[in-house]
Amino acid sequence: MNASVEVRELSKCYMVMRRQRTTLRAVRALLRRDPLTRELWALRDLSFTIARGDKVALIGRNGSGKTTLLRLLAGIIEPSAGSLRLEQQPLALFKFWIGQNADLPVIDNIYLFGAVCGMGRAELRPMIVGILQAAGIAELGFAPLQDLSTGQLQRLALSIIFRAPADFLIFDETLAHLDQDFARECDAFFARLADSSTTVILTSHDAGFLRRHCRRAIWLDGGRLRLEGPAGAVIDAYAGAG
Amino acid sequence: MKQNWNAVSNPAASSSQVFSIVVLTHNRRELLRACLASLIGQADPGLPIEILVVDDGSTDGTGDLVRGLQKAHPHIRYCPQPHRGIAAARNHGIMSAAGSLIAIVADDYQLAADYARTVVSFFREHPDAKVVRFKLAAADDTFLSRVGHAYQEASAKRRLLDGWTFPGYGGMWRLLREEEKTTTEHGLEAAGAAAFRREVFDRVGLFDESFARAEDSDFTVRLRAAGIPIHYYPFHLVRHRYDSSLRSVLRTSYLSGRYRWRYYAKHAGRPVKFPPLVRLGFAMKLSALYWACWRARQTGSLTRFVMYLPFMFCIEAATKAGFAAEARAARKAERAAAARRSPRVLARLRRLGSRTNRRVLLELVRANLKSSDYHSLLGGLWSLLGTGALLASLYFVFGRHFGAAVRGYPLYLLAGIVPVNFFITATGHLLKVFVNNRDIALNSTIPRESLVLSAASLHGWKLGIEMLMCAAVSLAYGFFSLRAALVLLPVILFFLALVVGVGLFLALALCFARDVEHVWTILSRLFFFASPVFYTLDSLSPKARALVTYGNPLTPFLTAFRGVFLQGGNVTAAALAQCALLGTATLVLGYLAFVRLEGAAMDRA
Repeated sequence: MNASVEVRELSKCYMVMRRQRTTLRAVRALLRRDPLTRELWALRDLSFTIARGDKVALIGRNGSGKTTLLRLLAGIIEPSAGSLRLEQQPLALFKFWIGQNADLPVIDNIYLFGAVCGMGRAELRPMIVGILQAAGIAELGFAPLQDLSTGQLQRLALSIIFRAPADFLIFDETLAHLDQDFARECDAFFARLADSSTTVILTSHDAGFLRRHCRRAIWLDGGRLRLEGPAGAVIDAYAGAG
Repeated sequence: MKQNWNAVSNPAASSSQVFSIVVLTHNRRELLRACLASLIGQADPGLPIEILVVDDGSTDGTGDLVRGLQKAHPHIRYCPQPHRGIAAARNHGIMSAAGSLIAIVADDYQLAADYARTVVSFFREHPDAKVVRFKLAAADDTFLSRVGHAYQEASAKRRLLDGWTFPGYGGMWRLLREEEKTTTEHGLEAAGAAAFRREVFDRVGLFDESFARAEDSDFTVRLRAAGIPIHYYPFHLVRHRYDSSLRSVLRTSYLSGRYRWRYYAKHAGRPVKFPPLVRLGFAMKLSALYWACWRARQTGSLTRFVMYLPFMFCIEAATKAGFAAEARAARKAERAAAARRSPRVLARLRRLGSRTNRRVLLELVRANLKSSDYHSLLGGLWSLLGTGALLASLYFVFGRHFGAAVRGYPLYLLAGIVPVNFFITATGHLLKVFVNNRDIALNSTIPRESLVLSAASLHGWKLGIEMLMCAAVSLAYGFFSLRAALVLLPVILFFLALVVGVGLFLALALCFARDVEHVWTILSRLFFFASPVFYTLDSLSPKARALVTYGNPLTPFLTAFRGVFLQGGNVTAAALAQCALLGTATLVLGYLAFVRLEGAAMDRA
């Protein structure tokens, strides 16, 4: 199997502060070697592989470690133990307002977010009109970003990322609450990806969307891998577990 | 590979009414002979006895001895294994034992003739009891044996107490005065004086083979977690032959210390902190003192107290040295693992210099500039008003006092205000770069260095405009020259390096302690007055001059800037080198700290 992602006994522990941080407490803790923090294991001993071109749904309850796993895959945080091997560098969308500047006009933000998605000004310039139209804000190109609604912001970010040259995409709950028109556009985008070599990992609470677009699913429970397999079976088991 | 210590003890064994005594041995043929002799002569306990000799890879002819004894005593079984340590030997014995009751002893134990009868009777009289431990006694009456035994007893009793606190030592004293009694408070140590019902191993699993010592302490925790009490029955003595040489005692103690650390690391969930030196000294002194006192009280002999004390110290020191060595080794391994996990500095810099990240940095700088006052010339000039107002105030207040001694005092002031103001505002902004951009740092693949650099670039832009203003004023005075322009550029770059380096340290510190911002606000004000902005170094007392010159990193830069603007670029090579060293070293150290602490800082941002 041509593995795009290979995860072996991956664990992630966050250090959570025990109490309010102050300089004196930090110095005292340093002198006494007394930890100011306590451990919070978000993920424990995860092992799985994802083949190139696979479309994988990551499911689990809130706090089960989905976002932590995606952040590890995106290279945003480092694992506490275990190994992680990626064939391709992922393009991740965790929150659609990230990497944007509310004071600047929409077009400047397209350049800014486009750069985060790996596109230069020269590549983006011919796409600007298409992006604005797809986001349904064709007439708001020069308006400050802060004048856009949350839905418009979401459509703008997705319109940019859908045009980005990526062969590994990560979406963390960023496809929820879309209006009907844009949901169709999303469906069309993922349908186009179905037979491509682009690897996709996404989390969503929309079981129907995941069934339509994912072949495999990974179910996380309390930071551990509960079940892994064909998307339909895993999603059914997850739904059955209540 | 992980081994499963939770395996069933011996699925094939019938829980027949047999009492299995497992004897562990490794290259101690003569001790084994004595131990087996004490077992062979056991009084009838009312149950058939089997004696299993688990040979942990002996090479001294132990096998021949056991096989020879087997001819006359068919209830002795020989179970050799390759040398794998005491925990593995225990497990091998448990797996091979056929009895419903299993006792484990080592070859340096000597059992009383009623040992087997006592074990069987105890379990008959206490049908709910699953584990029983007997009192250990020294088999020999040598001095080292007495000291070793005192220390062993001391350690077992100390484990009864909660931690290493001073109230704990008070409790220890209370415990010393209590008479021996049957209790379930004690741990399993030493497991060689213990006997078990077979079901214990089915419920709790076997001994953890990663422990060469302290495996009984580990088993104690697991027994307690499973709700199985350990019965301590002090009215039957199991005699133990302690090491006969001091060297051997110290080596064993050192090893015990190492594995004690591993035990704490396993059960505390994280490596136990290594006590600071003073605390360590206290612990050693008190432990030794207590137990020497105790022995003296028992024997009523002051001589014994005096004789025991140094040996107690030595044993305690060896144990603590082992504990510290293991803590150091574990820390080193942790650091190595962290270094392997975290990308190297060069790899990070390469990643930062990739085409995509260069684009991101450029767009971030553009976005920061556009959303600030400095995106137009008018906006930039507007920002100079603050500098101008401060210049006017300082000139008004100090002009008469310091101005007479300095030619071009307004320019002197300007060349001081601009860098110091830049330092204060830029570091104050960089300080909050991770906390304010936590959302971006935790939810985007943008390198965090880009956040720092884009924030610094905004202030760099402002510094550039203000330096141009200084150059224009210098030109008006007739001081500025081509040489000055050539020297100015590297001084600005080194100054930027200093600011970014300090900013990185502060940004990391703010993630760990929120009041760093307030502390820095106060320190910044002090920096303004501790820098030669409106006064000259010559006007200070020798002590104050030395403090301001060598204690303030801004002073060399102010001197260099003034050399550029007031003396036509007359900056000595040594002064330039000082600026280069300060700027580069601060930036490099700040970046290394950032790479090292980035993960931990982001967890806490």
